Amino acid sequence: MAQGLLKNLIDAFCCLPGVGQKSAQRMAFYLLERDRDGGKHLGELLHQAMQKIGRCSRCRTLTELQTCSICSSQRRDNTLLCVVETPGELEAIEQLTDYRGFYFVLHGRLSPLDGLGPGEIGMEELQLRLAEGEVAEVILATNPTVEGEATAHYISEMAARHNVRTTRIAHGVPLGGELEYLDGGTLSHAISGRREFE
Amino acid sequence: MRAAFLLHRRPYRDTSLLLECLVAGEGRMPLIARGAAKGRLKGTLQPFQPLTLRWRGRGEVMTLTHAEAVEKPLDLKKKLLYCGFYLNELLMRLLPRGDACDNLMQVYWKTLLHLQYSEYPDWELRRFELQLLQETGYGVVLDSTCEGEPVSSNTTYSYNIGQGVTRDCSAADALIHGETLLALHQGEWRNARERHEAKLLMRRLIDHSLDYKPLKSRELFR
Ligand SMILES: [Zn+2]
Repeated sequence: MAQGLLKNLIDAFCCLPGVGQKSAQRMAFYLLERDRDGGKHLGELLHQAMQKIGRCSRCRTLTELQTCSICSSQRRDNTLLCVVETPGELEAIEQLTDYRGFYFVLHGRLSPLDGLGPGEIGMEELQLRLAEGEVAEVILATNPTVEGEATAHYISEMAARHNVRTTRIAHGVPLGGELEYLDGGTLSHAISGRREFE
Repeated sequence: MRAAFLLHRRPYRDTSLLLECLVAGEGRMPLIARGAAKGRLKGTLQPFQPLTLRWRGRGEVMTLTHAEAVEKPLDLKKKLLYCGFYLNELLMRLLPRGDACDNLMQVYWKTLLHLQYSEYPDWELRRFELQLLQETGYGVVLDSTCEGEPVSSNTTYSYNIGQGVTRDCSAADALIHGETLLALHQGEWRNARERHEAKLLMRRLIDHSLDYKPLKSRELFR
């Protein structure tokens, strides 16, 4: 049985998703016995990332910059704003589709029992964004769960107050499914096949 | 196999879900759905989906062994989803685990059914609030005063938390018409004033029963 610092390290690895005691132990031994440089590098990066990475002031995605590289880009279509629940979903859409508008990351969805109301998912920021007047279409890419639907409705009402059109991604997204785990074809089709949301 | 509704779910460890369900004959109960975080079962285990559940084990949190959708999910759209969240939050906050409350399952299901078609969803909420308070032992008497007189439809009353309906309106900040009290008592309303007064009264009663801790789902209605 590991003790002291070694035990603490193993326990710390267990905070990762999908990592139990056994794999944590393997990771710890691997770094200590075979790749101390890799381990030090990982340690420093983890430390820096946890200190410096915050949220983009415009889209709320994870970045160490005030404004992320997507939001700073001049080559994107500033009339399109795609609303996603997580940074992982932003990445999925960015990598797997040819969507080139802007994003807004909720970091969740309306779910009162999880303590997530309009304030927690950035509705004030979104309101300000819509009030700027550049966005002409909000693409609702929230998940097809009841919480995702409620969120889509909330945002569509807000968009309507600013005379902004809302569309909802539709095709092939399974009920209760999550965008992050869809294949590229399905996800591309979901974006291009979006339809008016009412 | 028991009829049930999911009230809330959250991820548990890597692949499992921790569920909070309203189950016929059991009341509110927690269940672990092992391996349900991915895959087909996740789509079934949604709020407002009539379910039958089976479980095994002992102790405080038992393990779900079978879950099936018995009919299609209730068709709650737009603001009605907020209403559904509100019902679920009320159940999570006001119904203690293990309090069987047999009626409540039916009341909840009926409320969801009515919400789909009702022209006045708020009235369905009022009915649910009142029945929930009564089923959880928070006595609410609306058809007679605490002085022991029957409530009359053309008299004005006030409601004292802890005592009940009274004709003494001297200290009251909100007056309630007798017809509102009778409408709530009978579950049938006649006009907009009744709906408005009923809302204010039920809000006071619910807030009081929650020790004035705010309900998150109310933020959606603003
Ligand atoms: Zn950004």
